[in-house]
Amino acid sequence: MSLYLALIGTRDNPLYEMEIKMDPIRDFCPFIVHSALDIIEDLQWKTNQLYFKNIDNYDNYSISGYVTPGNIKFMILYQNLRSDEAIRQFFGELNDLYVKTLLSPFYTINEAIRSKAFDQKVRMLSRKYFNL
Amino acid sequence: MTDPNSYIVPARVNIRLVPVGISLSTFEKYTKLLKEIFEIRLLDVTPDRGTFNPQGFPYGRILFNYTTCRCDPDSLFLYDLEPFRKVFILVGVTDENFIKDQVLEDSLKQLKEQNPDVITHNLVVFGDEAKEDEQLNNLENVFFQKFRSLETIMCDISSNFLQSLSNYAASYKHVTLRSPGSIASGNITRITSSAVVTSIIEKQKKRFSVSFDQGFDRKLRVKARQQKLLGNLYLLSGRLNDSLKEFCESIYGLKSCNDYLWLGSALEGMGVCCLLLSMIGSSFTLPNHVLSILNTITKDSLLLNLVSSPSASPRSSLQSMTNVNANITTNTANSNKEFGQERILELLTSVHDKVISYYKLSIPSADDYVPQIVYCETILRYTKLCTMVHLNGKMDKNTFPFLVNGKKSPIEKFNPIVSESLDSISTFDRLSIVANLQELSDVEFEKLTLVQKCLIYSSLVSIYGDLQYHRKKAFYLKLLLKTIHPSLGKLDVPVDSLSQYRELFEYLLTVYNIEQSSTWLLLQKNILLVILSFSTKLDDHQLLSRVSYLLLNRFHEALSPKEQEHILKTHLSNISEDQEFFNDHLLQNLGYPDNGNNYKKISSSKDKTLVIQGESFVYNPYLKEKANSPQKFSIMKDEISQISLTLYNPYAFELDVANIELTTVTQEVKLKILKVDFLKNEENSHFTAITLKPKTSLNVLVIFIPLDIGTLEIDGFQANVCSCKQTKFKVVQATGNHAVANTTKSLIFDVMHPQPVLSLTYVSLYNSALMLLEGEETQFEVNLKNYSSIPIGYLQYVITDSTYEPLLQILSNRKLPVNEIYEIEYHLFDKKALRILNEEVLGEIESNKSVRLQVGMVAKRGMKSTNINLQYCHKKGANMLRNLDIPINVTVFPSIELDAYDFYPLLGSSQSGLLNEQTGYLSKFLSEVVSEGGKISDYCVLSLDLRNSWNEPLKVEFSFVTDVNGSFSIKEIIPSFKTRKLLLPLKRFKLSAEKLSEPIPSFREKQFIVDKISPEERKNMLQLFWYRHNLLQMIQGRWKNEPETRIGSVDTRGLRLSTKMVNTLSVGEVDIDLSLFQESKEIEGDIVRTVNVHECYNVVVNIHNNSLSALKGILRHVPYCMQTKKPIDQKVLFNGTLQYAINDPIPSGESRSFTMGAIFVEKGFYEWGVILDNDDNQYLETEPLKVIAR
Repeated sequence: MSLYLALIGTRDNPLYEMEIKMDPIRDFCPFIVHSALDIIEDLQWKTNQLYFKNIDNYDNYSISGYVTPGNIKFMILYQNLRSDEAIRQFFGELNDLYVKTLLSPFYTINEAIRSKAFDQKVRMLSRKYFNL
Repeated sequence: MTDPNSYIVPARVNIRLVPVGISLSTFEKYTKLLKEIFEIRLLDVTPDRGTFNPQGFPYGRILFNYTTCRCDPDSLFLYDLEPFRKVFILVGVTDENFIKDQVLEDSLKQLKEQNPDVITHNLVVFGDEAKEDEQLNNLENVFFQKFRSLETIMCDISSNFLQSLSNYAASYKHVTLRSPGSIASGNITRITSSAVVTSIIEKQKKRFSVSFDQGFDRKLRVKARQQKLLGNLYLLSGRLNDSLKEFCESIYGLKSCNDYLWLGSALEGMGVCCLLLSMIGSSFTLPNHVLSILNTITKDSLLLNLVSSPSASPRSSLQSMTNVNANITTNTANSNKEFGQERILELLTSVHDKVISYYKLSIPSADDYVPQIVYCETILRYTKLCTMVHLNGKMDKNTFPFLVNGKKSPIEKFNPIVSESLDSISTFDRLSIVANLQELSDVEFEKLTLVQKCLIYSSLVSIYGDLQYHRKKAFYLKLLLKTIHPSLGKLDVPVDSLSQYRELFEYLLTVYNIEQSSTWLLLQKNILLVILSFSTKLDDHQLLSRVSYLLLNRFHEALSPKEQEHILKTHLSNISEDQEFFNDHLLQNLGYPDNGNNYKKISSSKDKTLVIQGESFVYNPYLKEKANSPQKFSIMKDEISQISLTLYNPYAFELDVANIELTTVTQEVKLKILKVDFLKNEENSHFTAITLKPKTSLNVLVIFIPLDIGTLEIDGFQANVCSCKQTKFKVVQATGNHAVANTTKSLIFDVMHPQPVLSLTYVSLYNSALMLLEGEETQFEVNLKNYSSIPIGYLQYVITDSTYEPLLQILSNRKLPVNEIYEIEYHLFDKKALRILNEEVLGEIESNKSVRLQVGMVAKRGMKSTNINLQYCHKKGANMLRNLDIPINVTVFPSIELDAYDFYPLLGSSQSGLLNEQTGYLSKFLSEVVSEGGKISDYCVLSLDLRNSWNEPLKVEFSFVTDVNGSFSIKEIIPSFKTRKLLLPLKRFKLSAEKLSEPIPSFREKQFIVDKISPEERKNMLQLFWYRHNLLQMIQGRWKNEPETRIGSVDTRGLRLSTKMVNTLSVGEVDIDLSLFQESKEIEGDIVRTVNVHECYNVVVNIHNNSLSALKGILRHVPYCMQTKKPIDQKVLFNGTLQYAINDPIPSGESRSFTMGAIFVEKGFYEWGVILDNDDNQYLETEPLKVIAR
């Protein structure tokens, strides 16, 4: 099981990146996720839901996404994750974390999230839902 | 070039074009002409009697695909399964200039020998100059362009091809067709995705459990494969009806024996056949067994609809399939109508889904598995078709040319601003098209050959580009570039063609938003590196310079040291001469180093907010200077000034900075740079060029001379860095606020008129340092010279030493008692370490004149350095003073130290006790005192324990004032590290009450000293202070060594008096002396007086009143006999009473005697004391009268 998570801002800028056991394609992950933005941007206007499962794949890796109402995209590139439901719940909690970060007076929207607490909590979530 | 992944590729005949004796440019010119002909109607082809006689289906067409490459050896194994991959026709291209001297038959023969894999060999001769020659014209397989049009030539070539194809097909009749996996025995890559394989095996298990027997008819399979091959060949020859028939028959056989790979391929061929038939408006019918296969599509489909909006997908609809069947089984006579676009598309979709499904079923097979490239290309061909329909909006006649000639789709230019959605007019939704491509995720691209990978990537680039998925397109474009790059040598691309590549790279730069902002560093850096390496192969200097500039300017933090060095090398070798350095933020800070050799400005008015109006001051807060107004520094015209630049090299390589020049905001004041120094450089050597080490900052001093008077604002510097053009560098101060633009920092100098310059030329001390003993006095000389042409009219000096700071710190303690404050102030202000002995020379110093200063020095305890600060200007009252410091370093060692001290009173009897060697001088002194009529009790002894802490003997001489005019001195040699006691006879003195009530003076002239102590304590403190003050003025100790190289004074400030000491030192208010008389004769004795018993004596008490007031009180005689316990009145008879009142006051300063008669009755030793009781005090006699009665 491996995972690469990227929170992507409105200017295709990464707000936060996390990678677990993606060694074979570590440098390549941002490219795959970046290219999947085309698909998710197309999909987001076709439905009211925020979560988009398995929107794209590359070389046995799948990509799922989540678009916040503020048009921030949460993208995960993964291999052999447990279930779609786990991913959906992971995104839900991640969105809560992101909203809390947004509420911080020291954070400006579309800027990189450098909070160590945020990082720790995201890693905790990935352990909780994906055993990573 | 035709589209290599067009849907109709299985219907195209590959033609290899080969140059014969012509240049590349000529070859390109002729091939361009040939490639215009991409199809031939069978109607125009000469009939023959072979299997593929064009008359069999005159509406059919032969489609061409021109290539100039040799066949890919990796695809040789695929020829049986997909015969359209084979090159069937070879056309040698030549012109008449070549054939003049050549025999055409030989050339043709040579072509045949060189290309044995091709079934028909032809030679086309271009050119108009050759003479008509019947013989030449009749040559077989040789065609002259000047005799016939190219279309006719291609018809003839096609005729040759059809004849040869009959032979080729015949050769397969007795061959057992094998799958690529079987032929290549492992050389063909297969899909190994475990998830796919597992799911298929499970499906197959279910299938076999309910299906017919496991055995299959081998003959049936061989025949079906033969039919499938024949179908492919008919498709190539344009006989679509025969092709469809063969395919349909083969499908039946292949389905029967579960030969999935060939079945899929046959279905695909059938799909192409159907499309082409519908394109040419011909009706066709599909047999029931084929329809039944297509009908079960939804049941067997292994495709997963990955997109969450399946409603738009045209694929999984049972209802639509019924429509397809209805259409297919009905002959459509009206060929002029549109092709029933939706229905044929639905059929093709069903066919494609089934093809993919069968290909997947073939994956677990040992030999008959689908090769990856076949699988990929099938998907790509279908996706291409969908894309084309999507772009065109529908499938009609207009679509056909795009299908056949492979020309670019209508929408081809990328415009990132316009994002028009095409979904509303298209049959295929973009997402469903992309969903097709998701099948490719099972393919392991890494196992494909380079050519195969490139073909797939370029197809994906094209598809995503057409769909306006620019990020996707850029992704595969990057993959393509990265795949091609390692196997590329140096590309010799003409300068004109570079623009095509640049357009490609420009696209990547735009999609990844590289030039606008740094958003995704890793992503953008990698893209830039790919472009850089590719443009290196292209040798495109312009692009190289631009990309390397971007990398070094904005992405250097994400680059490794090796990458940085490589890019720098690339950048420097490709930049033009007028290109500036790639980073203009090298300058981190500008500073004005405040060295001691400066001056201070004297502000004319102390507080600008105070405005004088008449006789009163008005406070105006608006006149207050702003706190954030820039600081101005004053410098002199024509005088050396300096500025410090903090440079930072953020790179992993060294930077050479040369030709540094300071930049100014205005040109009001010009300046001239003298030299550039490292601040850290100890040797003070100067450089014109600086090397900045990697990842380090460096302070650089720029020494300059302002040449004009005015305001000079320096905002940075310009220099040649790394041989780039001179670049300006400024300090950018980030505001931290996006709304406010960053500002630049500058230093403002007020350049003033020239001022005199005084310089230290000589100090008569080695290294301006001294070693002294504490209290030692010495002298040295200092030479100063006025180097300027302006005389010094005013000069003042301030002397400080290193003890000042700690003392001032102690002085800042407000709880310090007043006497302690005086002591510290004394050390600060009165006991100067340095003294200029010839102050008169410091008045005026003419230009270029020298003065010699005599400086006296006294070593103070704890002093480490001392300094003379000279402040001068050209005339008194000038608004600025210039400073010159003369620092002297001092090491002070201890010399004579006062260890202990005490005061002892002297009595008449004391003299005899002092008659020894050590104190003989004291006895002698006292004798002299007595002989001069003085009293010993007027003196006291000050005992001093002096220690010599120096490593050689020191001779100490203490002198003190004995009387108004007289003085006395004591000399003693104290050996090294020994202590000696000195006894100094001091004449007791009395300070008047007025003196004792004077407050303790202050050197700082502080006016209000809040004294919180009680009056009694204050009185006591004042008494102690003034007595000590007087005492220290009386005594003076000096020391010297032998030979007399060092002399100094003993520090007696350590003497602190106690009340007891003061009582000893001071003269009492009342002196009471006792004397013994017999009649009128005084009985004398050194200590004890001897008398006879039973004789009459007079005890005389002399009282001297030293106080300011008259004295009265009760006088008490206290006789005492030491031998007996009897009462005293039984031993001595008194004439009167032992105590009586003095009723008549003794005036101030006067004496009075009182006599009492006494007879000693018993022998013994007597002491006679007297006590005078006053109202407040009790006074005792100075010395009791000691008597021995015999």
